[in-house]
Amino acid sequence: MGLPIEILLVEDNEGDIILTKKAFERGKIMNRLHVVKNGQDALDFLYKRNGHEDVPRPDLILLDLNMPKMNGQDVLKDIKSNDDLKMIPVIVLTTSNADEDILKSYQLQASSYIRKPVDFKQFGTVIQTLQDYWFTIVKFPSKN
Amino acid sequence: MNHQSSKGILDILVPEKLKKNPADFRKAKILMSFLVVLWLILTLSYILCIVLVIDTDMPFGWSTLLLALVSFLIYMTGSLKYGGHGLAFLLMFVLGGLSTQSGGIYSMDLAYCIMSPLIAFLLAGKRAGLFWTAVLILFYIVYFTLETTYGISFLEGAKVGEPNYFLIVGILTTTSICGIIWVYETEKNKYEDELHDAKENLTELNHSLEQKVKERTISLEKSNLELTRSNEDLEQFAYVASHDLQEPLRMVGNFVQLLEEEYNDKLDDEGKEYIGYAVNGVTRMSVLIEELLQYSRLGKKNHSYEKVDLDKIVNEKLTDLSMIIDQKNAIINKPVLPSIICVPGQIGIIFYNLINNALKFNESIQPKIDIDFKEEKKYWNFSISDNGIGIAPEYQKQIFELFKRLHRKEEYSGTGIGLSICKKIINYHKGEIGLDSTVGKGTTFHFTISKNLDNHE
Repeated sequence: MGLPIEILLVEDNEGDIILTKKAFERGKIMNRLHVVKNGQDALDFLYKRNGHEDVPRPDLILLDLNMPKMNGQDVLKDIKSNDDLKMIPVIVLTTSNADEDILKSYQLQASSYIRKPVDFKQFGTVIQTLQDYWFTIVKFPSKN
Repeated sequence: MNHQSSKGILDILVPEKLKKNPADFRKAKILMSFLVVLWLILTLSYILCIVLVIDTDMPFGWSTLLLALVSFLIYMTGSLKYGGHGLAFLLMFVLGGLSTQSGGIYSMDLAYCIMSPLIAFLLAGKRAGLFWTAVLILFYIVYFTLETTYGISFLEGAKVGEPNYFLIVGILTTTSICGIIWVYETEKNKYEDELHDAKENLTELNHSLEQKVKERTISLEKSNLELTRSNEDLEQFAYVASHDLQEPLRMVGNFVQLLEEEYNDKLDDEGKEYIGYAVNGVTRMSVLIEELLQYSRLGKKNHSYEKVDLDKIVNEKLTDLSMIIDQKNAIINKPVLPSIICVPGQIGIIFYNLINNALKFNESIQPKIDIDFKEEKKYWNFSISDNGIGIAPEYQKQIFELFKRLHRKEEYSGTGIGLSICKKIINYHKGEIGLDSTVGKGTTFHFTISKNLDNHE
């Protein structure tokens, strides 16, 4: 498997984008992190439209919930109602610890719900664990 | 009263205006029936006189005309006042006129004149009655004077002195009858006025009562709305606290650490120490927000009581605490706990906080914590004992207050919310919490959970 892992990060907070990038850089697995900053762009990316015609199909989506215009839950709903896109694991990565957010995300078929830690070391561990789990342990359907 | 009788001929005769007031309606009916009967008698006897060719010397024509006038007056004005006056006038002068032909002051017709003020009393009121009494007395006096002076009477053989007797009797009878009616009318009016006033008061009272109920309902609805709104605000706040307050904090924490990692070679020891303080502050703040949130979420309406395996829950909490248990080299003694009815998500928090405190505030070489329970008739009694630093008696009540801490943060970490949360949860389970403690020897917290918890209360 020489191909890098394609990851789509849907995140509006610049700080979080940097932190996530840093955490992935430190990971052992070769990956390419694509960043979109709102829900609408995320859907454009996934449907390869509006300037996103040449992007790869992501292997994993990291989705923030609180975003302007179209929030994470709407994006999740859209992804899971598309027969092709719904196979991509979506991991909700957010600050919120509200029960209703957690419940709603799983109801909308998120693969997991992860709360961003306050501690950067912990955040690194979370990203590392995520990579290990989704790209070395879990088996996906063949890309072709 | 049935509908047929209320639609009789008299009802047609009574003018619309008089139908509104039941008292007037009754009076008008009496008056109209009186007029109709009188008219019928007069007309019939007049016709009979013509048929039988009897000499009609009596003023039938005049009386019929007057009766017609009176009825017309009542009908047109819709008022009993004119009708009453008219009828009184009619009676007095028709009967008075008749008496000149039927015996003068000795005629019974003259005595019938007394009906005139009575009719006025009944129909047109007290003043009319009084007026016609005075007219009648005056009429009697004038009649008496004319009779005794000129002898206009057709009755022969009148004796001197008798007219005086008739006059006195006539006046006295009229006056006393009118007096009786006067008193009766006055009393009746007074009573009716009182009744009317009472009814009006009652209506007013009813109205103001209704108004008050309406006002109260409106204010209740308003405060209900405000309550709902403030509840919504609170929930909104909880959400903001869980997300919007945490996010900037997380940024600070993460980036300070990133700074430390990426610029490690450029920072001296002092710089690294400062970063340590910053991270520590952020972590504490984050825990504080989290615990406050937990506190504010307690007692939210959607919690329901269920039967849960308490032993399993407490074991889970002990697993969460395993790191500090290992660090402190502590021993935990716990019997198999029962299954109880409680709010599943809350009961564990009590055990977690109390065990955590027992470990935290413990300087023994080997902390020892005993968890125990006793089943009582109406509640479960739990206890958690430790061999920790203990709490002085003067502080034992304060510790359940929100943010109350007995130690500096540098000595023992914590937010001062834990025991407040425990107390709130226990209250929600209709229980009580208390403690026995000796400084330097240890503390035993005991609390109860009611067995009588109902979701529908």
